[in-house]
Amino acid sequence: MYITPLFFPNLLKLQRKSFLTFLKYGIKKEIKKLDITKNKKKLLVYPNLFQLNLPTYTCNECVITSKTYNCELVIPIRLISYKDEIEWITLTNIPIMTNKCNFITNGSPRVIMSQITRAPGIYYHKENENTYYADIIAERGNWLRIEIDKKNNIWMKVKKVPKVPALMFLQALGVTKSNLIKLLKYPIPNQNHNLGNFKSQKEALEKIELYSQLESSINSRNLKNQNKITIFDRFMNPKYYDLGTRGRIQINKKFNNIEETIQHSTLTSKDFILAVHFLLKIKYKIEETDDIDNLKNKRVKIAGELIQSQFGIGILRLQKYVKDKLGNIKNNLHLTNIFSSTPINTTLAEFFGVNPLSQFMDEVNPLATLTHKRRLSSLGIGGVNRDTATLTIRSIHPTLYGRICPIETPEGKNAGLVNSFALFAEINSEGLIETPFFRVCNGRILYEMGINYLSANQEDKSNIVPFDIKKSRIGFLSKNKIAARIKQQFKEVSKKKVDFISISQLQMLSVATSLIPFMEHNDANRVLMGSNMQRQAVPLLKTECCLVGTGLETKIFFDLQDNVKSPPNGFISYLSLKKITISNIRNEHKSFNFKSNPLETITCIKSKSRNFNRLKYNLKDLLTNSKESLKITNYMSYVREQKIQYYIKQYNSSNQGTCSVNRLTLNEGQFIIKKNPLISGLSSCRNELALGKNLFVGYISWKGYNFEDAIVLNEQLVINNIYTSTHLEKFETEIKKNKENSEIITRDIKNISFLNKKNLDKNGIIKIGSRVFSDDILVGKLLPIETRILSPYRKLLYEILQKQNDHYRNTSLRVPKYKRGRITFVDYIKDKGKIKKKTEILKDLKTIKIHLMQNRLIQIGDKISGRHGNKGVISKILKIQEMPYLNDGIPLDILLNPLGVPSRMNIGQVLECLLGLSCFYLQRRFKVIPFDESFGFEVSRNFIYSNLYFSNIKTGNNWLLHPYYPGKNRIFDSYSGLPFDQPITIGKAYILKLIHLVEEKVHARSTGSYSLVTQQPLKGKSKKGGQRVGEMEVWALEGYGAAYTLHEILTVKSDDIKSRQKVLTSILNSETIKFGTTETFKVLIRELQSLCLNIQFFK
Amino acid sequence: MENKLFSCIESRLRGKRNYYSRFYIGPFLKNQAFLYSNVLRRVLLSDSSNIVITAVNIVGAKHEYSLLPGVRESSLDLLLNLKELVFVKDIYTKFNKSYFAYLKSNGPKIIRCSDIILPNTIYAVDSTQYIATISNNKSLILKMKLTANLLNNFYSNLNYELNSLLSYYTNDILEKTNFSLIIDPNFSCVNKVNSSLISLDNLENYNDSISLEVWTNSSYSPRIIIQNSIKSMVNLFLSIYDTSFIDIKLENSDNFLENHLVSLSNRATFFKKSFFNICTEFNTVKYKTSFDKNLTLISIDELDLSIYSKFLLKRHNILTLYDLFKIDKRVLERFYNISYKTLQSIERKMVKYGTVNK
Repeated sequence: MYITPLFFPNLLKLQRKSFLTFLKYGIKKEIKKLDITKNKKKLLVYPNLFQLNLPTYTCNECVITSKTYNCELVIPIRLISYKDEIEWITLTNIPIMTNKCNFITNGSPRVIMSQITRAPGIYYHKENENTYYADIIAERGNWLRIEIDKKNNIWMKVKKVPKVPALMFLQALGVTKSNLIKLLKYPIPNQNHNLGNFKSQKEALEKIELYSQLESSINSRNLKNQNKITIFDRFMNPKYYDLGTRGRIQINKKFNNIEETIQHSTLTSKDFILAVHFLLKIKYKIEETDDIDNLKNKRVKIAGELIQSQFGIGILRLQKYVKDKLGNIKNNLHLTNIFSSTPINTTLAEFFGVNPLSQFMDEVNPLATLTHKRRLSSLGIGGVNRDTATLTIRSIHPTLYGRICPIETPEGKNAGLVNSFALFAEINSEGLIETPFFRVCNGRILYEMGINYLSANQEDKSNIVPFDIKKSRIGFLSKNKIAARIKQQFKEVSKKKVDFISISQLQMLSVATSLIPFMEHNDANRVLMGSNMQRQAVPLLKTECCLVGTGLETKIFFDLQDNVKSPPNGFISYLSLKKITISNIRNEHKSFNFKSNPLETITCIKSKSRNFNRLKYNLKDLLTNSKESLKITNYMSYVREQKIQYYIKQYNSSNQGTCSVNRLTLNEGQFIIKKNPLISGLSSCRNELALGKNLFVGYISWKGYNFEDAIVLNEQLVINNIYTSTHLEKFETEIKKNKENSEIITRDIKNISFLNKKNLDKNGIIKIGSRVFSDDILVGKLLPIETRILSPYRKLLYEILQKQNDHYRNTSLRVPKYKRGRITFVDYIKDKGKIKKKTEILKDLKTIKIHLMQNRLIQIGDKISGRHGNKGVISKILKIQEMPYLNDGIPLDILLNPLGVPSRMNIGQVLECLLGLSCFYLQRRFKVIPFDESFGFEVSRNFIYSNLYFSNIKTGNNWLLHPYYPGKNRIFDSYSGLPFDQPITIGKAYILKLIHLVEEKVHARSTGSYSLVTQQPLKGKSKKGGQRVGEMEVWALEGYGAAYTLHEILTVKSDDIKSRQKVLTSILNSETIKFGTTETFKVLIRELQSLCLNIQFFK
Repeated sequence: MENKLFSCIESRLRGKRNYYSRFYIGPFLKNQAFLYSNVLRRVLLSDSSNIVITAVNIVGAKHEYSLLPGVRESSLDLLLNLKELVFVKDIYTKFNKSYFAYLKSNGPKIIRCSDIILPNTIYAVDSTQYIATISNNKSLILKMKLTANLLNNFYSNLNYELNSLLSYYTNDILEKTNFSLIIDPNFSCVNKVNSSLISLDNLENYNDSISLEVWTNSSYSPRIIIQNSIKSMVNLFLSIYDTSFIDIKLENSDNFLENHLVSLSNRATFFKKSFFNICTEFNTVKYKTSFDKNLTLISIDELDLSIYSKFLLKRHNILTLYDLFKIDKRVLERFYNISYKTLQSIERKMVKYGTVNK
């Protein structure tokens, strides 16, 4: 039976393909636009001959040394002037996509999201009753709106310009009035106003100019400015306007206009006439308006295309730059002088740095990186504005099926604007999203015919049925009447009329959503949360595969390319986490030459080549003994023993601070096949994606500790390091070197005790391996300052504190508050390259990089969640003897509130949990594909019950499935030893630890900085801000009678500037602190007065 | 009531680190069985009599995240493997004392628990327990610290929380040991306990008995674990058992008042005794004499020092005279940046309180 398609495209294919087309064709296409002639000097460019040099640094080097992973684009250019010369010129350094489909700029991985925008073309809309308008969207240039309003006037509207009567505009273009009436065919309403009364084209032109002068008088006083762009220029001049081939095709298709060629990229007068003609048709209800949310009217730009358009801008800038140079340079005219790589480089850097589509890669776990690369945004340049986006843009459209996931989108203001591709979605050459279908003919699925990709405009007229309908083994549809999708509606159709069937149940889902088992039983809102939260799961120290999965875990793991892969076949002759040596025997004479790299390298050691009989050698001897032991008698061929050494990084770090210690999956002496993984990295177990842990869950309220989504946890999980994750923090400090004062790295820092300096080496830099806590010094630095004459007050203060006047200011790098860990890496970077000898350290040191690593145990306040959007915060960690326990003595691991299920409608968690229970007792794992209803009625429920029944019988635990309360069990209260009153749902669920850890969020403030304008304490952790004491908080303090606290908060801690400044001195001098009356305090007084309390100020 | 029976019904080794036994305890009166079975279960689960590795020094590893030459595992994985090792004490093993174990192996080899050189009184339960794999010509050298029942000297004295393999809190114990890698210990050797009631529901006498199932990690047999926990319970209750109450007899109404008074005085002595015991147990270091006690009450504010030196002292957690008294003069001068002058003044003022700084 053909259940799941064997075909499954690589999940990163979209991005990779797009970038490849940019490299193959895009660069060429853009370079062709470079055309420079000035003052009889001509430059000839050969776009077909461009070359990309190999990147100078490898990916890892780029990450370590904060460089951009790019390659040089060189091209031969010929200069024809008084002398003829030809030379290879580097145009730019193009950032290159790595094999993981991200870019590395300035040492940090970046992802370019795809953008979905409205396709160029003409679209008709209805505004109100009887008012219609058409939008003409261009690839480059202004949007044009042709509108028919309430008074039946036809207008042309452009942004920032007053509207122009459209028909007058046409007359100004040279169409006579009579012709116009003839061409439009339909009666023109309000003829007098619309058509005007012009005798000649000139008259009309003057009229239009009058309108446009209005514009220029508003915008600029220079009426006779030469650079003035007329309204005609805006749409007729290819300099300012470009429809694009797709826009031209769309317009021609819309008007059935065969005559216009595709090359014509601007609007013609015929287009205008046809547009008005069509508008009238709509007005008279002959044609229908367009649906802009339909995917056929939307276009997707993926990384390659986005870069290409930016590259095009760069080329234009280069052209201008070169022209300037050509004009300026008189003598010494050389190609190398004329060209520079900066214009394109800066435009590309601008794109990667500023464009909202280029984002810091989300590297919390592998799934997050994968979905980030498959994300689709309608925001950005040329897209929608997040604040003005309407509901219709954000909502789901029937054409999204199989193309864009209807579920996965962020919550909040970006909801519906940022989406992600469905599993099988592809992009065709027009930029439309396609999805695969099987063809159906006469009620039979034609598997043999293969897969048909359909885009939204192609599927308009065909009947499409979903995959999860009943069908026979060989592919006959069982039922006569089938619910099918046609023209965005759901209709019952006879099976002979069905044209297509989708290829999988998961077709419409995105990657993260398809990982949720039993997701069809959940409310969509919770599935959304579940798929978003899976992306936030922290990689754990020990990973564990899920008991109940959907079967996509392996696919995701292999498509990621996250793990290091073995370069050739061979035997592993040496194995450690630092270095792996693979020995193999090659017949070829080619020598391998890999580039050397300090951290992750492949080097080749050439051994003596020997001739021996291939049939007789013993591989074991070859590996364990030295090369001399090979004793081969017969000459056959030259064979080379090759050793490939692979150096492994200590750990992988990520943008988000999560980190994984590598783990080997091999053994020494093992044979490894080419491209098999050497190391398993983050969140993977047995070649599967593994984000969380399987825990014993009980849905029971426990003394109110799991009220309102709080969660009670077993202490054993903490002790056994089940939810321990490794985190990495990077610190970087620059040693400033100005002419006047340069910083000194030193160990002698005054006023700091010996204990605090214990971990510093003799130069004042922290030692590797030392434990550090908040406020410990990492790098001791001093900045010399000019000695000033002290004010007498300051002198006095120094006298009191017995402090000497410093010549240095302490600018040491310290560990931030609430951070702790171990120093694992210290790197010294010189002005030019790295320093290797320690003696050189103090000279020419530029920056110091420090890595701080830490294991974070799970603790109260951490956020954990299941896969079904059932999230919560840990409120209590119980000892093992206090947890409720099952019939066979197993204590529960985690207690969830049963009230979290009914109102959220995520029943999937209950099903997963019960199937997990039978998994635990049967020692099996299940892969459940969502939407299993095609296999029968209530299949998921029956499947779970049957499995529980099996585990009942097979393991002899006959309490697992009780006939009176199936799916529930009696569990015991550990305090009394008695069973709880009601049977309780228990089971095993897959629980994730999310990245929102308390340790990063904990923050407190006693004093700190104040806002300059309002003189109130700042907000937020990064600014060391305070907690807002709002209205209700004030009530609480009032109710509690905490008068002094209230007084302090509302005066000194708020906007009482004068007394705030005096507080320190008055404490030092042990005087009484004087408070003023501030505005906030006055509000309090008024509030109390309004409660009829007679409160007044007395002197 | 008939005699109580404690018998092992079933006992088997399920794997080398899983020892299962089932016991019959009873018969009890109906409600009592419930009470005792629950108490037994809870006490057994909270048992922590195992001896485990608490700190490790690995040659070549400065921190948990470093890689070792020739070793297949990272040192973090190595620590996790060491954490899972199970050891047994014998009767000569001293309580509250740390032992040291060593390991040195040359590759190529798969290192197992049997390769560890243990002290004479400690044995490995499962000699095949995996530790690491090392490659050709490389060696792995470890020094391990084994501690039994850290609870008494670790949890109570210090503000210690189970807080990671890193163990952030630089406390005295950690600083003294010189071990670079510290493991959160799991002292419990009981994996799972299940208790159920067997009711012999004859019509006339309804007796219940407990069926107790215990799974341990083989460092102790379940039988010994049960005996131990019963012993500790009995010890606890005996220590608070007041013998003087036996004398009070209500029938002797004449002597009632007199008896009561006697018993009261007895109780006073009893409380004195037991409280003293508790105090000595908990605070072996601090508060030994009444003299010290007085010092603890006096804050250093009363010394009338300059603000700066007061600030310095307080920063280093020296809050009372007792704290000050404990600290060596040289330490104060060298590490805490206290000048010689202020030291002298402190000394002068300390004399007033009848103490002299060392």
